[in-house]
Amino acid sequence: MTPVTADPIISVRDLHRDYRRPRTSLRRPGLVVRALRGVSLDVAPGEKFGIVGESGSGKSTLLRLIAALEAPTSGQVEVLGRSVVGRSERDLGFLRTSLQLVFQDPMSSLDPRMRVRDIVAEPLLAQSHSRGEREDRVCEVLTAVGLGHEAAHRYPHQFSGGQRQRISLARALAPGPRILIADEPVSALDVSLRAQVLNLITDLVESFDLTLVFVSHDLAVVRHVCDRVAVMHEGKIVEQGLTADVYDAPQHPYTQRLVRAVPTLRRALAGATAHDLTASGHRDFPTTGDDPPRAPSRRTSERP
Amino acid sequence: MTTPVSAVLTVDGLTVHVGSTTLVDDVDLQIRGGERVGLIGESGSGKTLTALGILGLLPEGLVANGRVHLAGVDHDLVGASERQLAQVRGRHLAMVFQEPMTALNPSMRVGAQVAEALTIHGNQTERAARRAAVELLGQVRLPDPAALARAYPHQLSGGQRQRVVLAIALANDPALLICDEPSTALDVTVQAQVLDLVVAGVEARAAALLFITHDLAVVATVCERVLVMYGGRVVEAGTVHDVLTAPRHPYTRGLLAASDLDRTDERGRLVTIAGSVPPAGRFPAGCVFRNRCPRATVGCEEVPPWTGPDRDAGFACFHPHGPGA
Repeated sequence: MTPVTADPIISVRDLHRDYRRPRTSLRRPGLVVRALRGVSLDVAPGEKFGIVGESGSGKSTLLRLIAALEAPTSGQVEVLGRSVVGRSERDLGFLRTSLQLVFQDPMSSLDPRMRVRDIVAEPLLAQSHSRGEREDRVCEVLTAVGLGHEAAHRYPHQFSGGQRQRISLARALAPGPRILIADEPVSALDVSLRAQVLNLITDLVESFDLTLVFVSHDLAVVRHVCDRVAVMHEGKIVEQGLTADVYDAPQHPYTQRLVRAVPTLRRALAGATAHDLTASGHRDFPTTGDDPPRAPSRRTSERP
Repeated sequence: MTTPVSAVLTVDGLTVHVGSTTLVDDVDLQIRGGERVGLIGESGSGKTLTALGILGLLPEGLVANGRVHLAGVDHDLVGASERQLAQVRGRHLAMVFQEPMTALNPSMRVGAQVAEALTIHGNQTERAARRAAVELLGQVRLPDPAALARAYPHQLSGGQRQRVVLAIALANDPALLICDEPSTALDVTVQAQVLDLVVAGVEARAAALLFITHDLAVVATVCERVLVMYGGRVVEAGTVHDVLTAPRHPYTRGLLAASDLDRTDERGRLVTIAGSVPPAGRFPAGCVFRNRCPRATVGCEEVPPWTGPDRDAGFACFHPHGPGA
């Protein structure tokens, strides 16, 4: 499988995004946090592309820029061959139907006062479908995610965590997107539900012919789901390649540390201890011994 | 496994009720000094309530029954008065929860919070306690502990906060440390450091550890023995190696298969457990797992008895998988 055979469906070039933190002094302006520092990547149509990184690595910022939820400081983002940078919301209609997002915590992304049928139909309202078409579509996507159509009349709080994530997926599928972006979709789920939702995502990507961008801190999950992966650290992509290659033979010291830190059953049963997960053996790496620096809400460098 | 070390914690028939609903049913558990025991299961399996029942920290309206005995404490922890429990918690028995921000006082410098644990339970002077607090913060490998002791919790990262909580928990050299998902909210590299510190901390004190998690790989890394909970009951127990390589109970087996991301069917799909964990009070009578179990029969409408040499090893199932299967 060569990385890019057709024209990329998502193309990101030298993307930068700076955030200015609130000022803490009258005399000095607030600090600038460089959340993204020159990110470039291509995602081919039909590809399952993973983005791995820890908190503060810039992965969520990257998603927000690809989805044109905010504007980059500099750089280019093209989706389906059209630039999304600098467009008004009115001009982004194509993106809103062709690219959909699913987030980690379904409860905070589902309106508790709306019935499931209204939640799922909401993305269709902007597309001037008739009422009947909307109802058919809601029924269709609810069935596709494994919820019966009787689910349509209930409220989100009546569902378990795994079922709520199915509702989020149904809403994402409703407008018939070509790209599905999933931001930590299984991180809040228990082991048995995680397997069910991962299988469902794989099924949906196949049956709806989607391109998947899957963001996670869990390298093992990304390895299972994705063909290719980009590892992010401190606002940069430090390593990119086929998932199996990156996982089995990580090249960058950060990726090596990340792979090493993930506890696995096999290694644990072979005698690996908690100490073996830590970075003690990699003293040469700059952030060894402390938490990775993260974007806002951190104060490692300016304690009293 | 027959070490002569006496038990630090003995839990005998611990049951937690709310109204007529049973949330934790007849849990037996013994941990000896220096032993690390894991309690695993999915959300809603009763593992956190078991810990809270031991600690006497159950929310209003929940009632614990049974016996909980802790070495060095001459009364039963179940039914003990708040005054008695306050003497025990933080001295003989300490805990670390998932969310460090809720465990720390946001308006108090972290050094003072560590020192407080020492002055409340010991007869140390304020000054000696402050010095000891800085030392404890250094022990959990926080950089520049003297400066960090003057920081407030919001100025620290999640991993640093959890280390402060661990320093407080270990301050009085407790005989038992209970950790409830201490690393779940943390990044993987930070999780690795916190797990390392937990193990090093209890090893240095020859303390017993009860470690609650939903992550099988974490429990295998940290613990020697493990108890699997489902529907408020312990369904299987044994050494980490036995339980996780040759599970007897179909639930343990399902959990292991579902968490193995390298094991897929011919279509590349993961193995799943049918259905989902029912809400509290809606588990079936008899075997709690029977409505999701591929091996269930009519006989499973009876509560399966415990099969095994003792409560440290065995399973509760009428149709167990063979040993070594």
